[in-house]
Amino acid sequence: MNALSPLSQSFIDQHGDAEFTARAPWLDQLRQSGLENFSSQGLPTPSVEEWKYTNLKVLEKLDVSTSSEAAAVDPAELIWLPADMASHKLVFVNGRYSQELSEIGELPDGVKVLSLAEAMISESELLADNLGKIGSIENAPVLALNTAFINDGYVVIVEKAELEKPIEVVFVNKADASSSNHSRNLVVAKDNARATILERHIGEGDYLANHGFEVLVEGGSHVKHYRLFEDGAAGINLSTAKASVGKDATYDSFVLSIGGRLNRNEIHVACKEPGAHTNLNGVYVGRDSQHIDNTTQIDHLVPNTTSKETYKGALDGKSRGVFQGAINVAVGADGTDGQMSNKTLLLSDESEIDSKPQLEIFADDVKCAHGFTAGELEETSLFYLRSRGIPEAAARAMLVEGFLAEVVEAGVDEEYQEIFKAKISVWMEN
Amino acid sequence: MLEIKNLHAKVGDTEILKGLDLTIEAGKVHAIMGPNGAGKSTLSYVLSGRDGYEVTEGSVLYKGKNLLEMEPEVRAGEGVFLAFQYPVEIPGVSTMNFLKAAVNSVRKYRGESEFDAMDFLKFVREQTKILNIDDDMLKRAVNVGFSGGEKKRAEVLQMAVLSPAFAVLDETDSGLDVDALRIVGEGVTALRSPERSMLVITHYQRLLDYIVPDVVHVLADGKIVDTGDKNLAIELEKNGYANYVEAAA
Repeated sequence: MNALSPLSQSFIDQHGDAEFTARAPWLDQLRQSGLENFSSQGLPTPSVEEWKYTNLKVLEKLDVSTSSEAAAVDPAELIWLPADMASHKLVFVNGRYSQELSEIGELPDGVKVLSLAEAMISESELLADNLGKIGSIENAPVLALNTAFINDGYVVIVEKAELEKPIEVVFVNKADASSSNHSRNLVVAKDNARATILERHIGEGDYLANHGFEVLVEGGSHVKHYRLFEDGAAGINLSTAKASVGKDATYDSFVLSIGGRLNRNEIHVACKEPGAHTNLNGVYVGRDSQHIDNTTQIDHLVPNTTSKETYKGALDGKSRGVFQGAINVAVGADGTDGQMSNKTLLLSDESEIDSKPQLEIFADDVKCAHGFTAGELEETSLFYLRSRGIPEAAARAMLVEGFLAEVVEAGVDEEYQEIFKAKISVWMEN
Repeated sequence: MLEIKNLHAKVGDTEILKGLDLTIEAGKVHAIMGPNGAGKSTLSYVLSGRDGYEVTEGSVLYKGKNLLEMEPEVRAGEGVFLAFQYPVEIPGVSTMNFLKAAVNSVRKYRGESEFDAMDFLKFVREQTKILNIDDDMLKRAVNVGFSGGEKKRAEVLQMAVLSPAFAVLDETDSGLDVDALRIVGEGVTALRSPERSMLVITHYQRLLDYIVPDVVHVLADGKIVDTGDKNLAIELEKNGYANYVEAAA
């Protein structure tokens, strides 16, 4: 075993002192396996291919020996949906479920929405069957670390049911002193289930929020997972989502990364049965020295599965973006259709994008395509708007917003688009 | 309205306009015809202030002011409009939002009050009706997926709502079938007024059946080489530009 860095070691030391409220022999075992896996490799360094462009050294400034404590939150700052939009709302403060800030409300038959701690009591069997099963921690040290600390998060179970209202989740981090937390979240949708999850990440102070998501979508079900990352300026948000998509089922993911010191958003989707489909869409905007990493992997494992992926970003200041998009087509997975595109506007001389497509195709009859561009705004477009009287700064903003809005329109249901577009507009104004 | 004197302009190292003189009075429609490469598009871009077109000599006075010193958006505010030969697609920006931003920018420049959303909708609908433009087009992204005819009608719509004092129409007939040509031609003709001048740049005479010019000029090798009335355009259609190209060369 290699010597672990002091930072990695400090997580392991912290684990020894941690008090977990969610207890069960299988869960202790799962945590232990996460800890052992993490201990064998530690935090990834840029020498690992998947982490070549994102250096977690920045975490060294955090005192991770402290787990995030409970903190007071003003309910007003949690509001982000239009006032007339009803939802089933869950709030997590520093990784812990807050009963008083949450408002789950009435749920239709076949639907369960609750915290992981509660689910450990009422849905223990289902958790045991799925947690740690959908998402492998092999070669995923950050998820292994998350697994070592599984204690709270949200659980959504929808079977043979259609959820009309969205599930709203707010993760808020309030760090008086630097600290870290690890939420673990589970979504299970079976038998033509329908659910939309609107998730928002906000925070203040120095913190690491290391989220794990496992999503199982089976039997003609459709899960829409829309996320907004607007962490505080010093916040570090690492999110790993692993989705398993079954027969005629669809997993839609939309991610808007707009805040935080460092945001790594990793999504792995396995299309496991014929008719499985996934849409992965994302928008990232950065300024100052923000670092935003979107890393995705789509595995087409059987015949006739499809994926469509579009990520677009606008980077200003000294910000840096990373896009790593892998599409793997397994032997015999004929009829695969995988489309991937990544486009970035570089708004300053010092901004940077590292874009790495990776197609590994082991089947014959497939349609796979990828396109990548990075550059400045088109002079022709800018001139066109200015020739209509629109001043240069406003014309630039309009072009950038339009460029990004296209992804929102493609990736988000119409009724929720304005929520994300408005966030982009506010970012543009600043 | 517009007074161009001895205008020389180059693109990169190539001189395109080589001493162009042109005066357009208020309320008049002038047409410029000429062979490919004569400098027609260069003239339209120089007048609208596009980067990359360098004026090396001469002057352009618009309402007595030095037009060449103005940024493109200032020219628009002052009432100059260019209908593009190839209208530009702006993905993700709805035509409605684009029009509203443009009109309100120009109104602000002119010291007029800006429209709110409701008033603007009413204002635009009056114009779309005249131009036979489907309201659905206003929801679509600017020029994205528009047919050739829709693009040119959208240009005329922009001209109508921006209410310019001087409009340059650059090859507005290109890419149009006969029906589209008629709609666009009639749309432009409806915008003629004693306070509005136009410069219609075209390769073919057919557009001028719909937009009947007061004066017709022939541009060859960067200069105006002939001037006449609308009959000059008909003559050109018959005889082509060969004589002018030879004379200029």
